[in-house]
Amino acid sequence: MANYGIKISKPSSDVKTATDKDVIFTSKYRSLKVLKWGNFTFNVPDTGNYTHTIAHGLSYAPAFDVFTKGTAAFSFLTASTYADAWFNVGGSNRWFQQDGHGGIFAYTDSTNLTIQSVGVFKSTTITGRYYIYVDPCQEYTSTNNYNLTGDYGMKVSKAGQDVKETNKEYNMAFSTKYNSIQYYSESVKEKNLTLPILFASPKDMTPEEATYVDFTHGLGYAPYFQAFYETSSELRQLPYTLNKDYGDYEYDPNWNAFEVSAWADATRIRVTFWRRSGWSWLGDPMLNVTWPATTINVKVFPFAENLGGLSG
Amino acid sequence: MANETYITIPTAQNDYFYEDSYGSYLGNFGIGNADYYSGGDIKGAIYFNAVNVARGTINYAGLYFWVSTNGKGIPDDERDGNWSFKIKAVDEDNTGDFSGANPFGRTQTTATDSSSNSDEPDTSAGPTGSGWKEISVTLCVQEVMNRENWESGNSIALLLYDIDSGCENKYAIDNDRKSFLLIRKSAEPNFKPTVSPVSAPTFPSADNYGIRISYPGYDVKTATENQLYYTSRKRLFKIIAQGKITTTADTVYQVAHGQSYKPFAKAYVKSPKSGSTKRYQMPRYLPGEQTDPDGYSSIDPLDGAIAVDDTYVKFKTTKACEVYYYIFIDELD
Repeated sequence: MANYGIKISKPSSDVKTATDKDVIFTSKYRSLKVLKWGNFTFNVPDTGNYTHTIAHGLSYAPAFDVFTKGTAAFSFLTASTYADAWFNVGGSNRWFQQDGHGGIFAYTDSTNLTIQSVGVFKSTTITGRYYIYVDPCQEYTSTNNYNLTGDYGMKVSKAGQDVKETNKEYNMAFSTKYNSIQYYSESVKEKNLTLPILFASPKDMTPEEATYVDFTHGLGYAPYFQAFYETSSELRQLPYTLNKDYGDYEYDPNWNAFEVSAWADATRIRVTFWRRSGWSWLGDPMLNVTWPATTINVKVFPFAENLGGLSG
Repeated sequence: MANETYITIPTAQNDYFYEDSYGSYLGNFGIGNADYYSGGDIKGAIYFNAVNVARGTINYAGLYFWVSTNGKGIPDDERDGNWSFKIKAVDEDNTGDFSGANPFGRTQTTATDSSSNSDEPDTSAGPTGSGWKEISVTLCVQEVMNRENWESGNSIALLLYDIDSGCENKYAIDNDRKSFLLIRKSAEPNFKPTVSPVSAPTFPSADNYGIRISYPGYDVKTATENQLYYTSRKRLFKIIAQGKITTTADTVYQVAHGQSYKPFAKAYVKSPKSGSTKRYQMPRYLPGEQTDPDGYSSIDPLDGAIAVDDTYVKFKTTKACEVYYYIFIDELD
């Protein structure tokens, strides 16, 4: 790359020699730019079905993040409950409503960010937080786009784009017009979680096991977060769930049997590793869903963004 | 937690024995009353060879036998009354099968288990479906396993004495549904952790230099961290690639990221439902019995996982889908 633009290195690191991945900021690469963010609340009627829309004003489906807020509870592990806990939308989390069912869906199209309850949370108030990025989650090249109205501040376009072309905001690498989801490198932590071998038997038809770790984030509020778990070969983004069923002749749709998930509150990000086994007399030989003793490495990125903070 | 159980099944004709008022029969097994004509009680014996359970305390032992109307069970309309019988074990370190002599002449355990049940099968399922009786034989099996010279791999014989059952003879040697002995060594609770939290980090000091961009309406010189759009005090994920791919159902799609470490990635999956324009964030998992906004259910889900290794970002969806991704230069390792 040509030797121009903005680069900010970490304190005591030479900005002229720091690698791209280690610098705090570089105009060489783009970042996700938050167009609109805030909290939402809606009441789900008795049917359990409700659709809440947030118009984004873009002409394409934008990237987004959605979190829901609730009380974290998982009686298998503890009688304690944790109010004002935040969960990623879209996956299974055994602390959410205690049954592992997400129940809330979020998606974008070219008009709205939609948060939808489908049949699960009847007569319930749903609250949460959304982030809509100016960056698309689909291919898009049109000029029919959100316009820069405040013609001041700093803008960096991506290579090959005219920074003055205001009708292609999604081509900006960085713009002071938009919010940023940032993090402290010091916040990134990891730890191993181990579960012993688990198998069912005729006397223990559906045994469970779980362990968790609390990453104390020190921020004083529930942060936007990303969490991962590492196998011997790859890092998987959470929430991660895997099914194992008894076999074709005894399929149980609730048989989600492996889950690594996370939630956050004002004190911690809790990452939980949970498994369940099952015994069936059916089949030859008799079926036993068995999990070997396993250690995984879990990692969290607590961002500095406050999930209950200012809207914009 | 794992509660290990051991199951052993008789394998030879000499493993079964019973006697009634007419005589004794090697190679057959029965319990309950004899037929209508003799009216006598049946004594049945069953032999389990090479029981691989170590000496010491067990939590449970259960004898299972088939009593349903199919196989070798007796039809419902020929049953009359409940079972009532007691069970002892041959009190030997490693007893033999029944080819040599009537097993009821061998030394028997002091401990006695008993059963007085309905003649119907237990509701709990057994091999190949419900239709089984489960009888606890814990006390007498425990006595054998407490013997000083009991070793894993030794054999056990159980002796069943009828006590005026109203229920007619029931055999349990159907080749497809052989009686079996289940031994549970221990009852351990489900595993729960001893948790130690990871302590909070020490954040970098708020030095009076660098870049700060505040929210509109907030003085950048006095704005709190939460009132900033951007600050060079913190890091920002930086995009090095973005694009669209089309996945094949249940197949990992790999995109080379060009780094030598595991970078952060983000992705969105477009619903393949005809006419749908919905784009969901990955990872996505549809649990339980619910249905998603496009009608996909856990039976036919639209799930998507995302993972990275040192070479690739990997996407896997349960349906052929359009996926739009971002790859960042920032390292997850």
